[in-house]
Amino acid sequence: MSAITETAAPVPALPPAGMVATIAGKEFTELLRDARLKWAGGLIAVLMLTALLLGWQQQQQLDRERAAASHTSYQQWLGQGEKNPHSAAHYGQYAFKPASPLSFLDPGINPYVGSAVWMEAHKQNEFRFRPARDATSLRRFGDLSINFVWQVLSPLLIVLITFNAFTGERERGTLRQLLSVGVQPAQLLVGKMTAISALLAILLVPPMLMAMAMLFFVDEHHVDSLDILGRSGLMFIGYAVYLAGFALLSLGVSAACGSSRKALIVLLAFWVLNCFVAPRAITDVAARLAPTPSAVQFQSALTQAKKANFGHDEKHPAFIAFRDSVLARYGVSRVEDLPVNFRALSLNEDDERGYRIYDEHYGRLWAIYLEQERIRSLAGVLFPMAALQPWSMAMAGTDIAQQNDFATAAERYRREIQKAMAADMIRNRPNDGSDYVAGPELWASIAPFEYRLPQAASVLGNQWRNLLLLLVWAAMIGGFALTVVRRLRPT
Amino acid sequence: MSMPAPTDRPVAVSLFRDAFALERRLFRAERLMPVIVAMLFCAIAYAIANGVAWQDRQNTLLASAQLEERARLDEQLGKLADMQEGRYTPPSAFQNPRSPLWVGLRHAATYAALPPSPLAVSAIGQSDLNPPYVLVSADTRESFALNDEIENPGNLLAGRFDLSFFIVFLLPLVIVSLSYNVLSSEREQGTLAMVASNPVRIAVLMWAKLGYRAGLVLLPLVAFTLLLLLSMGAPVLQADGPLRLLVWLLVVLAYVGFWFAVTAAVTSLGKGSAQNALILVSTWIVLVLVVPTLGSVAVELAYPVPSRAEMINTLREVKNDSAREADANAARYAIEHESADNGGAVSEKDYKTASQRVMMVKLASDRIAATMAVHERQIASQRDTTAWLRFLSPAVLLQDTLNEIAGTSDRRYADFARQVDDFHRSWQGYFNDRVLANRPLDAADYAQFPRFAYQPESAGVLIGRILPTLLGLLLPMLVLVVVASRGVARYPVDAR
Amino acid sequence: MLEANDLTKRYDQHLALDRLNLKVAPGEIFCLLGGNGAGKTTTINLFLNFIQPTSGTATVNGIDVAARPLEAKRQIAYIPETVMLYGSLSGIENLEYFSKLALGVKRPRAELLDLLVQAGLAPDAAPRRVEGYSKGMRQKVGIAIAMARNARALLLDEPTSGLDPQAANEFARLLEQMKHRGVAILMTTHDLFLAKQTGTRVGIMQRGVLAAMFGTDTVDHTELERIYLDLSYGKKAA
Repeated sequence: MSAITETAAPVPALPPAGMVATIAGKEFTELLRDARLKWAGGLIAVLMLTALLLGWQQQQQLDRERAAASHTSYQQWLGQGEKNPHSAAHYGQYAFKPASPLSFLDPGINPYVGSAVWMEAHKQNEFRFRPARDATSLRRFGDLSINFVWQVLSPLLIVLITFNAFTGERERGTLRQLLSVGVQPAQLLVGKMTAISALLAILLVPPMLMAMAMLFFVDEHHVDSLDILGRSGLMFIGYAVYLAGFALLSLGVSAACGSSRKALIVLLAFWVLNCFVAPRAITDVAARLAPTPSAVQFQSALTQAKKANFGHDEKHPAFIAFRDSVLARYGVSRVEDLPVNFRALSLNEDDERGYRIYDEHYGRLWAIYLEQERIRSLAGVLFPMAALQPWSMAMAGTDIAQQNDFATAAERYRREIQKAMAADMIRNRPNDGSDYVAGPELWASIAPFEYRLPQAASVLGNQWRNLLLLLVWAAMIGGFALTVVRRLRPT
Repeated sequence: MSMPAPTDRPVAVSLFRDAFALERRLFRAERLMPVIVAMLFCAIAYAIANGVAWQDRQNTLLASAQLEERARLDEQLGKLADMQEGRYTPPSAFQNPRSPLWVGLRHAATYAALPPSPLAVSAIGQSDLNPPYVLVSADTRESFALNDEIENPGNLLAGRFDLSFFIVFLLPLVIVSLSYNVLSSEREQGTLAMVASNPVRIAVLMWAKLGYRAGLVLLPLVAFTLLLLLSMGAPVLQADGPLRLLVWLLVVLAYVGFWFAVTAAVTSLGKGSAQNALILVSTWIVLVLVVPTLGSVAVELAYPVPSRAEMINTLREVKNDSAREADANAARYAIEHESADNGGAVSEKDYKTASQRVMMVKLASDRIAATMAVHERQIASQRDTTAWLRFLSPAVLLQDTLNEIAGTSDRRYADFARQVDDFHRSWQGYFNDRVLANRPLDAADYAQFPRFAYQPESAGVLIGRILPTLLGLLLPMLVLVVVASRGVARYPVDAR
Repeated sequence: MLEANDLTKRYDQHLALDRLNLKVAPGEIFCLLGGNGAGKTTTINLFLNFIQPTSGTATVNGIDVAARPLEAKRQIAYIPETVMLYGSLSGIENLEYFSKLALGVKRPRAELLDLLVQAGLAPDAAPRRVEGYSKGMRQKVGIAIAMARNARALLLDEPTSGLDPQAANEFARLLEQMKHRGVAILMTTHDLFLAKQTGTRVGIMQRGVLAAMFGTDTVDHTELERIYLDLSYGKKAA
């Protein structure tokens, strides 16, 4: 009505926000009617649902299996009967890594990392039994998991529905009309972006909510459910930035290219580079810049280092030096006169020295892994998957840092057993060489091994870099899109 | 009054040649050829360099393993000599180089190595998951059979950029990007109507265009691969290397042919360029990503491998039980078998411990084997099913076959594991007999320890297995070629 | 030479061409007039076997186009509305390629250049890349291509649309030459003046039907225009 009363004045321009909303509304309707979206979106929805359920089922099964196995292992420890505590320490326990509750969203390195470690006397062992070895080479083509859908298929969907967002307008001639009614190109960009975001939200938010709902059914003994919710939220933020960046890129390329065909080819090429070429190519670069030692090298370096320790060798100079220092400390001249058991004391001392060696060597190995990861994620400035993937895995609790966190916890537990066994022997074992056995009370004095996933905040400590990389990338792409859209010409 | 048929053929041949020549001219005018050739060169060079680096690492690994074993044996032989000359008295049975128990369990434990095939650099395959050697001892099987090589799991997850990755994953995309618009772009720019108003078959035109592109991909691919393999020092000419190389070329050729047939079939549908690109990329996703991942899910659901965590505990239980039984048995055994007098080389107490341990291992071995066999049966079933499933996707088929040719396939590692098992038994037999008979080892024994030598399958067997692959690639290709030839005859020249 | 017998093309619900009967004799220029979507281009496409008829036949010199397309096409030359060429090749290279496709033999460059000049292209333009050509220049290459064929029938789809008056005139002159050589010419056009000026006969198409057909000498220009408008728009209104 107001338009009629103001006939004399020029028709008022739509306010910018209204303009954007109008564009977004029209784009959204158009997208919904797009046949491409119907089948591609449908397919992705089906794959997502399958992946979600499959991942959940596997995660639950794994968690049950590992919890049961941990329980059994502890029962075996308790049921050792009477024996020398050091012998019990040799028997040790197995630690099984609990499946992180979010691993059903991103199984990360789980298939490629050992699931169990033997916590025995004297040795910090490697994890064994990589699930990937219990599968065929088909696995190497990829896992059907929700992160695959989000990282690889969703960007493709974005490309497929947006590659002709601007080229199509130009080819149909509608761009000429749009610009002639005074639409700013930037408004067009924002409008289209809004429509795509709404569409992606429709496609991606339900599974995300479903995933969050599933988290309430998680067994809470080794996780903090609030923290897990936080982790999943942070994870989704990463994906949102990644997908928004892809949408902006797609729109920008569409605005920059002369034809839909060219835009499609450029975008597909980027998608392939980002999802397939870069991750592998960078892995090889990282492996060269920071080479992983071989098991033989690693073990022989450990063996070499441990030669400085005396072990059970009573003629070792280090052993003699230690004995003399103990004798001096207690002010006695013979081992037999010590108030404590000397063999146990020396075992304990040997272990203590061993811990330092293990810390150093494993520390170095893990530093190599982390350096490789750092190099890998650097590529994220250009190819965002390189930054998103570690972020997603970290939030899911399935990255290397958290694997090492578990390994460290297991090692700490192993050392507790060692110390407790040694302390018992130091106190109770006579020095006359006769044997000493302890019973179930001693075994039971060691509490079962419990592992809690680290808090999200601590994970952020070494992950903020990846989110930053993602944001920088998305900002760069946003700038690119805005620049090319501003230069948009109808022909 | 029909024209005499024979004139048709030369025209078709000449059209093929003309169209071919035109393509060359167009590519030259757009300066596309050097770009494509350079890209292929870089990708292949990088892939082969990675393969060579990986193989160097594997070789270093094998060499350092052998060195480590040699050093260990030399130390024992040194101790043995010293012992004989009275310079060394072992402080414990463990440090006694004559003790068949500890020598068999630890000191002489030997690396069973899987030698790389001459074409190993072409596909890293499963060699990053399966170490190229296994440290075999007289201990029970689980102590070594599933040992892993140290590796950043992130690297295993990402996979490597090797030649087979380039060919299986990326080459189809190179083919697609070169030829998704062979006819459609001509139609879109209007030249197709000009061409089609002539007495020409569009099919011939399409095949000429695709043929030119196939040459553009294949010639550099084959030339660079051969050149770079040889110049980067890959041992491709050793042993049955040339034969493997030939088979490699054949299957790669068939794969390239398959993808060109796919583009031909899609082209013949008569859609626009952008639509063709979409269809082709979707096909790629389905064949290279979706089919394998769904296949892997299916195989793992059909033949789930039981929990390894549970297995670990079961094996511990088995060992505990066996140790207990061995305790009882040892006493009986000592009565039944007079321990041979070995001149005091091994004390009575040590002998008792040793025979008890051997008895435990003997008792446990069968049960451990039975427990592990459940897992291995499932894995074998997965492998067998995969051998059929791979025919659903040429990408899987080719990857599998390239792994076979490179000697880095699941099958070869399974075969290696089987041979190692046989060897392990003979190793156990050798040392266990000596422990139970209380026969200390001497220098002559050291020279006669069982040695492992991998028995490779003959090239003939390998080729026999690869033949179905070739068929699996060529048959779909032929079907597609027929479909494409038929469809393109009705190619919509003038889009309505 | 060109003959359509009950030629019909149907797309799903839409009848693009309804039982067209038409004969174009050697040395005759037949102009098909009609609004957009009247079925003119469909007719041309059917004669070229770019599309296949639903029923009826199109023959060239007695050869059924749909059954023996290659033989039929040996007899025809074709110039589309916009002559599209390979932009990265020169005019002469384009001509070389297309004439080789048509005849199977390579013609000497001098001969090709001569053809281009005959078609009205400036000799210095011939070796330049086609991407720099104007629409008229490309049209001339198209005519040269058609002339190189020595075809007995010529199909023209809106050949003068977008040409400036001078170029259109030159074009009409060339058509006249071809006609005197005994070529049968079927041309679709919106240009009543061109039809009246060059055509021997005209046919007016309307919604897939050939509604009228008469000799150009039987009507004058205003009459032609009246008939055309009546048929094209009058009936629609009725």
